[in-house]
Amino acid sequence: MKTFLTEQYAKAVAREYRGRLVFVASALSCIAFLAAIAFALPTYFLLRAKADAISTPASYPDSLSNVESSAALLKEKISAAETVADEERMAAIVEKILVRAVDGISVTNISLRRDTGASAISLAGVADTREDLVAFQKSLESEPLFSKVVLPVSALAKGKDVHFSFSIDSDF
Amino acid sequence: MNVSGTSFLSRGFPVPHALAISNASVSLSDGVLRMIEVTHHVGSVIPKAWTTAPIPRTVRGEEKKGSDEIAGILRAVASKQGVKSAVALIHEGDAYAYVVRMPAAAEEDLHAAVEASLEANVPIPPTDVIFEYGVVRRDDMRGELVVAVCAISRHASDACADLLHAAGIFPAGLETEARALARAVIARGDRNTHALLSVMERHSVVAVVERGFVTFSSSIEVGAADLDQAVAKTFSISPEEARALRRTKPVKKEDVHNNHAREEDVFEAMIPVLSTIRDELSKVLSFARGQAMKDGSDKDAAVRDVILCGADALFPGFSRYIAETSHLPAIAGSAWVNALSVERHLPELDRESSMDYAALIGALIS
Repeated sequence: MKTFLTEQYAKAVAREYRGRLVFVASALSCIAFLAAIAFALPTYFLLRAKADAISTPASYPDSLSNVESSAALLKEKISAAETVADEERMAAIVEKILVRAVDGISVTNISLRRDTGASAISLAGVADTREDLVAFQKSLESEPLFSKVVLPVSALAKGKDVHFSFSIDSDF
Repeated sequence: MNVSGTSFLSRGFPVPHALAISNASVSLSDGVLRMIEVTHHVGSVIPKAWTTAPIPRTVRGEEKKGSDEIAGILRAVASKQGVKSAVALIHEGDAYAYVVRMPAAAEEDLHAAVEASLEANVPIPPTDVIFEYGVVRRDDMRGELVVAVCAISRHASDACADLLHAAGIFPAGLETEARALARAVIARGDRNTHALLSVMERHSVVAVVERGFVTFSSSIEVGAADLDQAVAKTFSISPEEARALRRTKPVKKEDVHNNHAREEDVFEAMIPVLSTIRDELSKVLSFARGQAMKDGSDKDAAVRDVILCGADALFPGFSRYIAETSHLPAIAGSAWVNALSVERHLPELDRESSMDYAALIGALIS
C-alpha cells in the first residue's frame, strides 16, 4: 500500500494505518481487560465473602461462645459416659466375685477402691468351712482380672464359720 | 494445494481485517471502469464483488477533462459495492520501468543511488518523479546489485489519487499495470524471467519480469477495441457484434467444423492489429535478450516464455501466433496463482473474466 502516492496522500495513508493500529490495540486491550475481569470475578466474590466473615465484630464472640458451650456439653457427656463405663466395669467385677462364691461362702461386704496408680478390692464374708474358703481363694486367683489375691493366714485358724477378708489387686 | 509461496505464518496469522487499509482496487483506463473487492481468508485473496462500467475516455495528461463525470460514476459504483478505500492502477504508458546495475557498496544508501539513476532513465525531471525499486539479484562476480526501478510522474499520481478522492474513495495506494500483473500471474519465489503480454481495452502492455520484478515495460495504444474494429470492418458488422463473434465458442458438435472455418476468418481479420502487438513484443524481447547477453553470467536472466493476460488474449490461435513469432512458449496466465487455491475456494469469477481483473487482483496481493 501507499506506493506511488505523493507525500500528501502517503501521509494520509500512514495516519490512517496508525489510527487503525491504535484502534486494534485498544480493542485487544479492552478484550483482555474484560476477560481478566470475567475470570477474576468468582475469586473476588469468594475472597470478599471470607473478608466479610472475618471482619464482622459481632459474629466472632457468638461463634466462640457457641464453641465453648459445645465443648462444655461434650465434656459433660464424656464424663457421664465415663461414669457409666466405670459402673459397668465395677458391676462386672462384683459379678465375677459373686459367681465364684460357691455354696458355703457368704459375701457380706465388697468395697472397690480406685486410685490413680492401682485399684484394689476388699472382700469380706463368712465361709462354712476352711476348705470352702481355700477353694474360694483358688477360684479368685484363677481369675485373670485379679493380679494378686491376699488372704491373711489368721483367717485359716478356725475350721468352721470362718470370717475372712480378702485383699485383691486388680486393674479395672 | 496451497497458494504459491504463502508462508505458514501468513496463513495462520493473517493481518487483521481492521488493519487492511483497503480490500478493493480500481482501474480507470481506456474508457472502462473496473473495480474488484476481495476478502482475505487464511492466506487467500478471494474475490467478493466486481464491476465493469463504461466511463468517458480521457486523454492521458489531460485527466482533468471529464474527471467530474468519471468521479460521479466511480462514486456510484463504490457506494453500491460499499467500497471506501481502494488501490488504483496507473496506466502503463505513465510508468517507466528499467533495470540498473549498481556497485554493491551502494546498498547502504540504495534510495539515493536509485534517485541518481532517474535522470538517465526517465524523461521527467527527477523532482517530479515518484519511484519504487527492488533488488532483483546480486552479481557477485562483478560485485554489483541488479535493481529494478519503476517510476511515475507526480502529475499522474496526483491525477489518479485526486480522482479517487473526488469520488469519496480513500486512495490507499497506486500500482502500475505491469507490476500488478506480475504479482498476480507469476508465482511467488519464481526465479525465472518471463515476458508478460496483456491485451487490454485500448492498449496492450508488454513487460519483462525477472524474479518477480518488472525490469522493463512498454505500452502500445492497440487493444481489444482495435481487434473489434478490424473484425467489424472485415465482416461489415458493429464492433459489439465483432466482439461477440470473437469471443463466442461453439456449443453444438455440428457447429465445431463451421466454427473452425469462422475462427480462421476472424483471426485473419485481426492479423494487422496483432502484428502491431507482435512487433512490440519482438522489440521488448530483443531488448531483454540484449540485456541478458550483456549480463552474460546469469542464465536465469533470459526470457523463458510469454505469459498472456487479459480476456482478449485468450482467443483461439493467439497463443500459437505469439509462440511462433516470438520463438518462445506462449501460455495463458492465471489470475489465481498467488491469490487462492482453486481446489479450496472455487472463485465465482470465471477464468475468462478473471483475466481482465488480473492486474486488479495483483494490486491487492502483498
